[in-house]
Amino acid sequence: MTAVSIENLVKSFGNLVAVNDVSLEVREGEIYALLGPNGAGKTTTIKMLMGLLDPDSGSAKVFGVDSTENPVEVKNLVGYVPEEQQLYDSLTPRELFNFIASIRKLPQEMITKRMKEFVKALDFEQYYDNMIVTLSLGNKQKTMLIAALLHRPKLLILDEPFSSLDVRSAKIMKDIVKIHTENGGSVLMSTHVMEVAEGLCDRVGIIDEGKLIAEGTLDELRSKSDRVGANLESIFLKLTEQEEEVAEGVSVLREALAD
Amino acid sequence: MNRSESWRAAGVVAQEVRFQSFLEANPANLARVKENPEKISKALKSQSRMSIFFSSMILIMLAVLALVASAFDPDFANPEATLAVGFAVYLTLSFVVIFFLNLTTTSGLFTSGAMSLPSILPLTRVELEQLNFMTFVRIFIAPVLLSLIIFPVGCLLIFGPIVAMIALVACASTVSVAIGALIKVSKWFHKKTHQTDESRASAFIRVAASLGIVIGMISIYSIGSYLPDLIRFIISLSSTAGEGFFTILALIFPFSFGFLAASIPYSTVVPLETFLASIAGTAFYAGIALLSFKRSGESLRAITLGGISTSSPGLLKEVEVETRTPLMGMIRKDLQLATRNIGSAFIFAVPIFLVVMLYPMIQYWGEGPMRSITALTALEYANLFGGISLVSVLMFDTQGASIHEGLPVSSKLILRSKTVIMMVPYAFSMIALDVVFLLNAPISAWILLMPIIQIPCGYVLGMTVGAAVFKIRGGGRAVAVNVTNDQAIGIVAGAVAAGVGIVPLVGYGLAMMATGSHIISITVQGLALLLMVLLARFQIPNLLKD
Repeated sequence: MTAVSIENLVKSFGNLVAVNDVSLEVREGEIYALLGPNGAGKTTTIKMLMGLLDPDSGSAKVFGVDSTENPVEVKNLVGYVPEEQQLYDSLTPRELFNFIASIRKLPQEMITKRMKEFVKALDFEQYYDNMIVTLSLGNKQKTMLIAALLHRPKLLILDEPFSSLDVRSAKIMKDIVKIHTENGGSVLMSTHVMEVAEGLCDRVGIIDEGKLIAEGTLDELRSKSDRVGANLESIFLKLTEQEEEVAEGVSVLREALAD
Repeated sequence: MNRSESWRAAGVVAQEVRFQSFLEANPANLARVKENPEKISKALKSQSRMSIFFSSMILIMLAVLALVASAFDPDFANPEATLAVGFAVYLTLSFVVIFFLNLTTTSGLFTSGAMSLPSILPLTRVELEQLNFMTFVRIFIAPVLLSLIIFPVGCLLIFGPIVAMIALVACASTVSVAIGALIKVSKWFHKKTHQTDESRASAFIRVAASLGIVIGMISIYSIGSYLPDLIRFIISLSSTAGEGFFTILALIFPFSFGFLAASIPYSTVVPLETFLASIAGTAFYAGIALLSFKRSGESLRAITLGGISTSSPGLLKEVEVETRTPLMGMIRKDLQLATRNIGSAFIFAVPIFLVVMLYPMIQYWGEGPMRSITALTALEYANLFGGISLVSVLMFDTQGASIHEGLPVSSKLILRSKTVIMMVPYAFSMIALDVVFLLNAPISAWILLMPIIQIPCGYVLGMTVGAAVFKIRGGGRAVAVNVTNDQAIGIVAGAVAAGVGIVPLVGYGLAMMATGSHIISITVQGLALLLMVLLARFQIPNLLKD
């Protein structure tokens, strides 16, 4: 069974077609990265997969469960770390995790043991009873990560997961993603960090202006872009036809900064 | 940056603060902001208009009542004291209006982050303070402007230009002092509501402060009708203390402005020492207001850019997770949030407020023993407040969008949890009303059963009002609302609750008219409620969407 199955998904915001006929699959045990420039439609695709936005047409399924028809069941199967970090600022992580574990009906002893391990691994003990509003961006990200992993989800969906993490936490995050898939879980992540996608992911989907323009392993993308031995950044710029645009932008900037 | 440039820039920052607080007010807004930005922008404008409307109505009401009582009260022989005290009472109440109505928004201002953008621009410290203060003023422009216009214009029409000028200075001083106090108290409250100290004392301070603020807000809404009596009371109290007492009063804020104003039309009546005392007091308080104005900018800069320290060092506690059922987990989380949110504390104040408001009204409605029509009216008031208190429970979820996005929480579970919380103050309100009925000698002991029979209506009201709010604001999905910037939904909630809650009471009334029997009427009330509970239990969840 595929972990994620998206078919001909379309979503418009007024005149803007944010997601345009996107179809993709994430296989079980796979790490799949959704790459794309800002505003390409990555987050909108993920939000429709989570049942947070209704698609105009097409379907999104998680382990065969339709996201529009049964978003609550989808959320049972998924651990989700959104790009934005709107947490309960007036709660402490302890109170928040108590709430999440209760909603997910997790056994108390097992979850306490798992929590101790998370807290130790992420060096989070000293923040466990601080109000969330006082936490740094990185510690809020850790809070979100623990919240997403608490129920051992079959699928992890991470929207820009490395944006605020320090070096240590980013390394731990990468390892968590690897361990998760080693244990049979799947991961769908959106990221801007090419090195992460290159070093961590089994397959990459490149999305631009709402369309999935290329998909495959790094080797498959190299051959599609006719760039033998190229890194993902170079492939990405070629496939999204941004090479000339970037070169032109740099040239204009050079002049502007020299004036 | 000159003042006009600063004023324009403050408009941009103020708009961003409003937008951020709107997004923060409802977890669903964040996910759906792109879907229909025009709708969000329209909702923002309509909520802003509603807030301006409410502030305006309160200030106009207070100004008109104070002026009418000062100028046209036929009961008093000493008109100069009436004018002075009326003046002072208006200033005190406008201070409280500006203070209470804006306290939650001010606390939100500190966390919105919108003020940090100007700090990276090449502005001097003075310019930054000026920008911060002007942003603050622009956010609260409506009550500030109204306060500066309504009362002085009224004074101009009734007492002439000199009294109007004194009124303008008095109102400007009051606004400045109110804003200064607002910043200081918001800072303290923000700190208290964000401290992680879990001691009972800390939680008590938070709840008590919240309750005090909520009751203060409610008092302002209801004080208008007692304003002439309040003026008479102060004058009688002062008169019994002797002639010299007015001179002492003229030294105290805000009476100084009042006595100075009264010295113009009644110069022959006001003693010289009272006049001199009022001049000294006015000069002193105008100076303090000027100082407060200057310090406010500095204080705002420190708060909005430097933040407020909320850390409280302590020993690390054992890491553990305590689970409950999903419903209980949701309720526990809501109650934890409730003790840290000013608006949410309204829920705790509902029974107290209901009794305070209804007790004199019930006595006024009729002489002799209390009849069932009085009980029905009082119960309908409780229904109205039940609907509003449900909205205040929905305010608990104005945080936590990212958590909600990932959690398998159905709209039905959210509605049930909010209803359970709302049922507690509703049941207490009914018990409190029962005591009020008992104290008013009901015509039949069966009347005492009416509030008890009505208790399950809390469930019906919670489910129907919640579903209506979810339908209107979330298209059927669970949403949070924030009454401080969405007062229209408070009115909708009150209307729905009043409309639904009246059904069993109408049943009682019709049965009473048809049979004249309290027992049959109460049975009809109970049966109507039973039917409504079943409908709410099995039909309302069908209207919701996940």
